[in-house]
Amino acid sequence: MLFRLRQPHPIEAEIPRLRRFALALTRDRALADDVVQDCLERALAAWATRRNEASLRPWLFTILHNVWRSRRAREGGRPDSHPLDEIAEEPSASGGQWERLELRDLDVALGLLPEEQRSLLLLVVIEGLSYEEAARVQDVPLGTVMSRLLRAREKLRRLTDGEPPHVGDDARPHLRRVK
Amino acid sequence: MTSDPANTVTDAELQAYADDRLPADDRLRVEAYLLKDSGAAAKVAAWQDQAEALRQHFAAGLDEPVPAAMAALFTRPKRGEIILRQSLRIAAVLCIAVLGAAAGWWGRGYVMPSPQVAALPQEATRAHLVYSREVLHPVEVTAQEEQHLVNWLSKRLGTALSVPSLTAQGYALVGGRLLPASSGNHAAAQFMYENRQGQRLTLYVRSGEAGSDTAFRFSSDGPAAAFYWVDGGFGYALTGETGREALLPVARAVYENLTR
Repeated sequence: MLFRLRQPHPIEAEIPRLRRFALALTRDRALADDVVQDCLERALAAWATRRNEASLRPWLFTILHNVWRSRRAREGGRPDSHPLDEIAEEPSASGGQWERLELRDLDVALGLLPEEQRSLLLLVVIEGLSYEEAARVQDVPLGTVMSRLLRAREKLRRLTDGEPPHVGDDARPHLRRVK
Repeated sequence: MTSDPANTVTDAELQAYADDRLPADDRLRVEAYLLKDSGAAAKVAAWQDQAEALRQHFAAGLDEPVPAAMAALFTRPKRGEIILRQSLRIAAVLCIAVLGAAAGWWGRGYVMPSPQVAALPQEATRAHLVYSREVLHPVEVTAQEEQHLVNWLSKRLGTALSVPSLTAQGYALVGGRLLPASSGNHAAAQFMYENRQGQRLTLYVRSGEAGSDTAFRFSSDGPAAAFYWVDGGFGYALTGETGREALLPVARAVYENLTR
């Protein structure tokens, strides 16, 4: 560039975190990087108009989350919607398999969480976002973040304890997928 | 005792305690409560262990080198587009101030497109942003009826259109639609393309360009960027949200395809 010395852009330092978040969302390295690339391009395009009051990391996570949501909506050919993670959240494996699955591996257990629960754990526990920031990233009310986080923790706990995931998940009854 | 409001603690508060997000007063209150409720205390301890396990699990994910394509966004000069544009604006102002009206006049036709031509990428970008996001009805006529599409839009625009093939660039035709152009009674056609990642490009063709042919120009507004040109009384704009670098070779292919 003719008019400036090259200084690292503030966004650059966030790339590893964005990739980690995207991987937690997509569970697919190539797809995750594709989403991050898209996110970075949008962030750079919007950089000049960014309002400074929002701190950088939640802002970037929000863009990434939106990129992922619209892409998923497009590829699924259905309108964008919040996943019904409050209802049909169980992986559709039949009960008998669980006892044989070794769920000690945290990564396997995380993979069994609904996407929004998994990404919320990352946002709050790993990235240290406030509950309010996490709510903005996921575009849901604060109350939803708290209950989703609780479900994520409890479900992950049961999974890593090796219990089948459908026992006593919530106080209220579940709609279960019929295979 | 548990019904005493001072003695109840919500799940949200327990989580905030485990996450160390509570103000000091509330923390003391929750701590006092946990001494009495061993079940809740066990739950909080389990969450904290879990958080530690998660931290260890995710810590490794930060060490990987940044892929070249991402780093390139920040090292390529074009990525300073905003800075470049500002620099150009300042340079233009200085230029006019120093060289005076004559240079300004001389430079106007040369450097800046006429207002009508400048409106071309804006129209194209607006149409792109509206229809490329459309899931159910992105086009009026789909690529399955390509011949019908071409005949129809050719008739409406008053020229024999040919739809450039962008398969070599990884884009397949989705279809097209008819749109009103901003000036006069002219019409515009929009052809939509999509690649395997679901990224969409639109080619906007407008009739009724009065001015002379122009060179290949670039315009960027928000998330979308467009390459546009005027040729033989028609204005063309290729718009996408893939960034300038990815868009350029496709735009070149379209340009060569159409102006040959």
